[in-house]
Amino acid sequence: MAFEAYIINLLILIGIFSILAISLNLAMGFTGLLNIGHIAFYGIGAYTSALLALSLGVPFWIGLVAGGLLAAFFGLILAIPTIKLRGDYLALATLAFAIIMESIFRNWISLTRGPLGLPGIPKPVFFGLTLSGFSYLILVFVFVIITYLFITRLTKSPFGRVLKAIREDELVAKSLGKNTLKFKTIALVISAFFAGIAGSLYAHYITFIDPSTFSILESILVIAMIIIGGLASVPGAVVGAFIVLLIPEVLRFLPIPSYAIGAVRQILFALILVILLIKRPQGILGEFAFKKK
Amino acid sequence: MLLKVRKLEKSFDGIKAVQDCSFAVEKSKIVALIGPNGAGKTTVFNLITGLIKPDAGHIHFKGEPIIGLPPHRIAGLGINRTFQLIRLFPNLTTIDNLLLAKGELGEDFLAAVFKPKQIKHAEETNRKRCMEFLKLVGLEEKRDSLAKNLSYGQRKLVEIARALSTEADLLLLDEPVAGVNPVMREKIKDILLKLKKEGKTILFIEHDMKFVMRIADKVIVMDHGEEIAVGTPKQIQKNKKVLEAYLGPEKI
Amino acid sequence: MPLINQLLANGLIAGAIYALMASSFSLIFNIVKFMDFSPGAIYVLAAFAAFFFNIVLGLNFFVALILSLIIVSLAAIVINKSVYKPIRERKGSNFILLLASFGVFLIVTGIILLLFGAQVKTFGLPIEKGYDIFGALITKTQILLIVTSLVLFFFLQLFMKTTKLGKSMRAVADNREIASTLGINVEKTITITFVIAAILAGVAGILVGIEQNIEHSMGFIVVIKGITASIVGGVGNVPAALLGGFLIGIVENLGILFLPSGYKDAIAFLILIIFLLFRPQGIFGVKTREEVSG
Repeated sequence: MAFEAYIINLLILIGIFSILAISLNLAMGFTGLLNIGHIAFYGIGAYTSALLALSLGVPFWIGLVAGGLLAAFFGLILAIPTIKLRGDYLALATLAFAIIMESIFRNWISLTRGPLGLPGIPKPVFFGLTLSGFSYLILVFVFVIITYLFITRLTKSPFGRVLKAIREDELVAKSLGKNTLKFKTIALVISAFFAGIAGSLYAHYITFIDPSTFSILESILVIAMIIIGGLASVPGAVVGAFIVLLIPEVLRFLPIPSYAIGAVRQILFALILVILLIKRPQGILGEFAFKKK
Repeated sequence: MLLKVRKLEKSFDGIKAVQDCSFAVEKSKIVALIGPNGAGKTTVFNLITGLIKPDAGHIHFKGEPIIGLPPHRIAGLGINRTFQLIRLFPNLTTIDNLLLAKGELGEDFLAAVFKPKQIKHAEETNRKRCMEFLKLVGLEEKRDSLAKNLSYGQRKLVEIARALSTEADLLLLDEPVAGVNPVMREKIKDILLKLKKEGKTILFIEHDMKFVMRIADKVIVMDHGEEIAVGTPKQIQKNKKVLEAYLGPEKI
Repeated sequence: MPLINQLLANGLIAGAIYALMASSFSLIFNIVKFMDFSPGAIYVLAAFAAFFFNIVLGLNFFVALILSLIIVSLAAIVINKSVYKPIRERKGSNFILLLASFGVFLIVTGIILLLFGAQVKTFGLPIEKGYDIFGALITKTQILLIVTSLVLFFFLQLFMKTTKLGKSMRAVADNREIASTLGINVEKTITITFVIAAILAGVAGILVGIEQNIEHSMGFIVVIKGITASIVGGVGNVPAALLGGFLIGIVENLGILFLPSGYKDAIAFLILIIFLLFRPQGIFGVKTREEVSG
């Protein structure tokens, strides 16, 4: 029984991170937007639906949509000024954005309770049934499928083709008549929306959130997932989420003292990331790698 | 006049790249833009397509002023180009490179999500049309190859086909035969002449004078950012100013 | 106005550290053109190495300092040779290098966490009484910190302007191909640049270590502040990094007058975003022309 619960918990987290990784892949892998601050949208989704539930008693389903929409709105706010920045500069701007958001979660104490976090976030109720354990896994699974299919359809459509063209050579895309700023903005907004959904799913599963869950290092974790699984590959994002989240679990079965697990996990996943960046920058299932023009 | 350029001026870091440049391009003609390296020819292309903004001057296309419009709007009015160093989307297939030239329904985000049927239909029509252009350049069997896996000459042809797929009225070709073998050069010549017959207008930059003399209806010569002579290939061959620009005054 | 003076003084102290981090970052950015986060790891590594030699082994402080700087120099050489160089050779983009530098950061700080644990460490210096300067309290260590930063900076400038090595560094930064045709050993020059950058970041880490205390997670924010300082000053302009560093230090400390102190970090990053949007070339930078031709 305990083992079953352990597996379910693991799968739920992998599912939530799959949504996060797929959504990041839309912006980063398909469109070439170097967004290091993706975790901020996840945080916005989590805090929005948690606060709505805790202070206004808003039901989960509405909070979930609100979390996604508010994250998308912040995506738009971030995109309007920064989307024209090129490459590394966009990376830096998104990094700064994520740090500012984390700082707000930490310091707007009257709203977020700061470092104390928000405990007691209610579990979702579906036709009178409180979702937890296996039923929550099904809920997450449904959202993974929705995200997976939606992003796959999008990236295989002519819209997605333009996104890839922008990634390959934005200037040529412009001279072929594409309003590239608009396309990039839409990609970032959709990406933020799904990250917000993932955040809300996380908050109502763990029932407790605090700012440290949304730190920039977590963002690197998600980037590692899509680099490992493969840039511009939707199944790759899921594979990446599996691998990155299974690493610490494998460590449990090795003779490593518990205090060291965090450090070993960090070293191991960073090592995998670095080795892949050196040896196979397109990842396991990826179709392309960021190269010098 | 399809395209009219008047007193165009552009400086980079205080150095005049283009100055007092005026010329016109008539519909359904092949016009060559020639001149020594650094004469400002590619800069003129960049100015016409809106990639950079001029410091002064006017550009009219189909009678409308186009200066200040963003590149995608200018492209939408019917001007398309190729690049001196070929710029295809390397990780996309040949056919996808061409399809991107089509502004189509499915590129609208909402349509992409909610109207899969209409998109499929539009996509099929476009695919057929793009295949015609790919046939024109003789690369229909390369349809599904990634652009990065094509040879230099093939990429050159795909770029021309992509420019055609936009159905633009005015094509700007930046050195269409540079670095290609004689067989390919003949092929490109035939393609351009065929396009002219179909009513397309072509403005191209080229250093291969033989090629220019054989296909151009009109030649514009630039030197030091200025247009110094305009005429038929025959007139240009005899123009003293042009010879000076190319060979230097002392050689004459 | 003692509060403002105290905040200004605090700004100068923080600024001295940011200036060192910014010059470390700028040196690397100039020569290999990517945003390297590894100086943040070097900063932590140097502080812990000094702590280990000085406190754990009980060596003399200056011996510990020298040993620590040797360690960070070796670390920088290993990082460049084993991670960045292979990626450069595969023509990986700047973003791949940036991500790899994140990876390097996590590996190095992870190892430190493994070896030293998560508890805060101190050098255990006796608590000093501050000097009263215009109503601001400043300790001797803090003055030492500002002076060291300025002196190092001065020597860096002298080195870049007058020595043959400094000139090769500038040549490689300017154009790698031309530099190599001039007979400059490009890879060697890059390696030396990483070593100098590591020493700058290392000194910053040790100074902060003795002035405050050390923990494995202290490197991340400080390297981003360094990057911010270098962008505010003007990327690729090492002298401007000094000014950027002090500017960020002072502005974020004065910001406390208007915002809760928890937002101190956010202020710096707001400045970063503002500069990226309106003046990405920084205060002293020259606007470069966007490449469109060909």
